[in-house]
Amino acid sequence: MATRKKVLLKVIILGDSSVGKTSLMNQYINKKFTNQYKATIGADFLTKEVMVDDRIVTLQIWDTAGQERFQSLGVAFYRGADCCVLVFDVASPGSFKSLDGWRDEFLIQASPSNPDHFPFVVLGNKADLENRTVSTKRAQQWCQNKNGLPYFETSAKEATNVDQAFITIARNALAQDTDVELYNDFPEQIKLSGSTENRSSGSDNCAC
Amino acid sequence: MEDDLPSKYEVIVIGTGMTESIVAAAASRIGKRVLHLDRNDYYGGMWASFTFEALQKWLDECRNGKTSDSLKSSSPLVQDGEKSVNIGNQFSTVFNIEEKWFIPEKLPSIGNLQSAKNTQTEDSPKEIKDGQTESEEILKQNDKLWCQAKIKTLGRKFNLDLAPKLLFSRGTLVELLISSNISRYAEFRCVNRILTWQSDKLETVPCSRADVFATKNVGLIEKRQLMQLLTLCVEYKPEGDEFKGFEDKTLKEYLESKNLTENLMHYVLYAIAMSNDTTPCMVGVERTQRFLSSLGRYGNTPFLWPMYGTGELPQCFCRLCAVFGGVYHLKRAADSVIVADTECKAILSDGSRLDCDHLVLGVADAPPEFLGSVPKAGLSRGIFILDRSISISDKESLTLLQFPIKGKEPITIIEAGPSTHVCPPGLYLLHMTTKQIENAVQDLKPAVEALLHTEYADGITSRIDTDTQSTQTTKEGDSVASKGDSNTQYGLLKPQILYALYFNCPETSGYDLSQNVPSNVHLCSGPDLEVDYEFAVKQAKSIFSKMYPDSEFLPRAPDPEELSLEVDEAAGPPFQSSEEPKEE
Ligand SMILES: Cc1cc2nc3c(=O)[nH]c(=O)nc-3n(C[C@H](O)[C@H](O)[C@H](O)COP(=O)(O)OP(=O)(O)OC[C@H]3O[C@@H](n4cnc5c(N)ncnc54)[C@H](O)[C@@H]3O)c2cc1C
Ligand SMILES: Nc1nc2c(ncn2[C@@H]2O[C@H](COP(=O)(O)OP(=O)(O)OP(=O)(O)O)[C@@H](O)[C@H]2O)c(=O)[nH]1
Ligand SMILES: [Mg+2]
Repeated sequence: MATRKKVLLKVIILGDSSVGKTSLMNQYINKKFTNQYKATIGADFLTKEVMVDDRIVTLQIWDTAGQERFQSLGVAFYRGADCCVLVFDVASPGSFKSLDGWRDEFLIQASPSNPDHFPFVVLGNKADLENRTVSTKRAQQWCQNKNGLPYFETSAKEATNVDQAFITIARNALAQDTDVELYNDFPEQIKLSGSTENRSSGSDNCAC
Repeated sequence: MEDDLPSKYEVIVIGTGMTESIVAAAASRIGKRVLHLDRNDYYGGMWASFTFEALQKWLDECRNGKTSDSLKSSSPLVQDGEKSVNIGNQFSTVFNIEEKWFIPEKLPSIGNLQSAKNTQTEDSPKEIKDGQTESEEILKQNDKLWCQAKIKTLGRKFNLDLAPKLLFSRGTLVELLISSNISRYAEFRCVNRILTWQSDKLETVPCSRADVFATKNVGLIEKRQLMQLLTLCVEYKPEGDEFKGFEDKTLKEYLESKNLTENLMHYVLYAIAMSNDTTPCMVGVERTQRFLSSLGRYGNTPFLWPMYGTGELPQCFCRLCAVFGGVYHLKRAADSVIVADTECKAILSDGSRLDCDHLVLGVADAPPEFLGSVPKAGLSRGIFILDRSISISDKESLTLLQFPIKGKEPITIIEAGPSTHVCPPGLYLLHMTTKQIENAVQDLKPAVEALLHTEYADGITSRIDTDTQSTQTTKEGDSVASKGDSNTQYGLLKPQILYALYFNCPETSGYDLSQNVPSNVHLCSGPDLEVDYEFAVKQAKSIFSKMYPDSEFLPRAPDPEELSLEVDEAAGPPFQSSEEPKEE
């Protein structure tokens, strides 16, 4: 175990329903966008390998799967998050007001060891819309007040700023990946491998 | 009333316990419209895991009795020929709660501590090491001392299980998690130590082949005997002769016929067969097979333990349900069930009528008339926060111990440490579970007295510290005498209880819950006595196949990558103005 572990970073995307969480994820990973609104069904998490300052990291981006609609995301969803992306819709002041609630919810549920410096990234999505109601200044002000959180105005529709935002997300997630090392002494965590035949994980240590 | 919850479902599930959550996931997975409600603001019901603070809140609710205001029966939402049956809460609470601290509320301040120390120890004043002041030294000492306030500030680092269980590595739950692809939502650690209590000592049970040959606790001949016996059990087929004549006898009698030494008898009977002196032979053989067949898949024992505690598991199934379109609403109670003829038509919740084809209910929410006369069997539970492991080794252990009680069910003991994220560094969590005979305190007493240091710790005297202990006990065969030991080394080494919680909770697994319910209502038992999840998975499967006999139970969910491609192919982006109505 002398070599550096492969880095897997868990990123969770929070925000009110229909602000474009799934669209952002889909634009970033699949370079696709649809205008049809379907309350998210089937969106789970997507993974993507990215280079961050010469290191290859795997981003695992988790969608809320609609459980946020009635504030019913269980604590399991938040476990082990390395970065939290807060999304609002620049044309929906309500979704902007909710940011405080989402941030608090995250800090309570995930209880990161260093709450003041936990990497949040804020995205004002749907920047392509004419009828925006939350000004850039107001959003930046909010981020400033929270220890200067990075802020991006994105459009999942026109793919503006999406890649840039996710690179920052990856970099900041990687930067805080420290308290993982704390438990290095202990035996590996076990992920139950899928169909055991196809995917020999290699790490199974058979004691027989 | 003004909520945007759709009002028609194929399946409504009330309660987010293990069985309910598996059924919800299975129904959603085959495309059924599912609504899943829970009156609490957390998942899991009686299967939940709590932070320390949340545990306190839960205890308060249990002590004060949960209130459910009964609904007027003449609601306009109930139509002619229908009747409204109020939801109950008979099994949502626990009894005989005993909570006890063994440490002071606060530690004495540094000044006090210093003088207390000075009067206690007569050795010469400590040298001040390179720049470290004496008070820093004392503060460091202080790290090892615990007080209630300190536990509370670290409260979020606890995940205290109401229903601690382990998973057999080849048991039905692990197979289900893998085959359904729900395993992607959970992480586990392997139990790496199975202990037994024999002749007033703790001993490590060798259970893998490698362990058998490495152990110093049994001699060479015993090793051969053990391997032979276990091989016989593994290879047992009903048509074989080996167990002829023992069909009506106990496992113990069979083992005696093999002339095993007492040592081996004990290992096999209590630890490997997870039985006791009254377990029928063939039941014991079956358990031995189950134990052995789960060995070596993920580690040197047959068991897995979920990271962050068992409360994670129902949430994994709920997530899958949500990913396939299930609607989730915590903090939302169902008030009553609307029944016409012998069918459930709908539920009333918060002033809304929600129609359903099938209703799945945890016993905790079942109307009393659906339950009939459920016997009041129960579990005795104990949760202990400890300052060290019951048996210290050089690395953190995750331990199972079946503590034998003469003539009764054993006490199942699971000990987990900080690397499984169930408690903060420096502490251990010990769970005890057994069948209720009297009450939790009485039923668990033998194990508590044998294993734990139960005197009050004043927060001044520091006990032998954990760092140096590992060098005092040997790794293998670390058995230390304990009887009448309060002054012996082991007495001091026994873990100090910092906090203890006892309670009794209902156990309904032995009861046929389908007797008094409408044909499309399905009741789910709460946590059962067994150490694994076999029962919950079986019950969920049987409920699902009653609802949808021709459908597959939790077929493999596609990986996210596969799925997003499918979606993209299906829905080409139609270019239109973005002014379409939004669900608000
Ligand atoms: C602790 C334990 C765990 C087991 N776990 C499993 C399991 O997970 N799955 C499963 O299918 N079966 C398990 N078995 C059963 C058993 O190991 C095998 O089914 C059986 O040994 C046949 O395997 P083999 O052909 O490799 O035999 P071999 O390993 O070739 O052994 C043949 C015979 O020689 C004996 N033997 C081998 N080495 C020694 C030795 N060093 N000293 C003395 N006798 C020896 C064996 O007991 C056996 O009777 C377990 C047995 C034990 C004791
Ligand atoms: N104009 C514009 N529309 C967008 C943009 N991003 C998303 N949308 C639209 O907003 C709607 C909601 O987007 P989703 O990605 O489904 O939102 P969500 O946050 O995942 O919603 P839930 O799954 O319900 O929580 C869809 O109709 C999208 O087409 C954007 O950048 N610009
Ligand atoms: Mg979405």
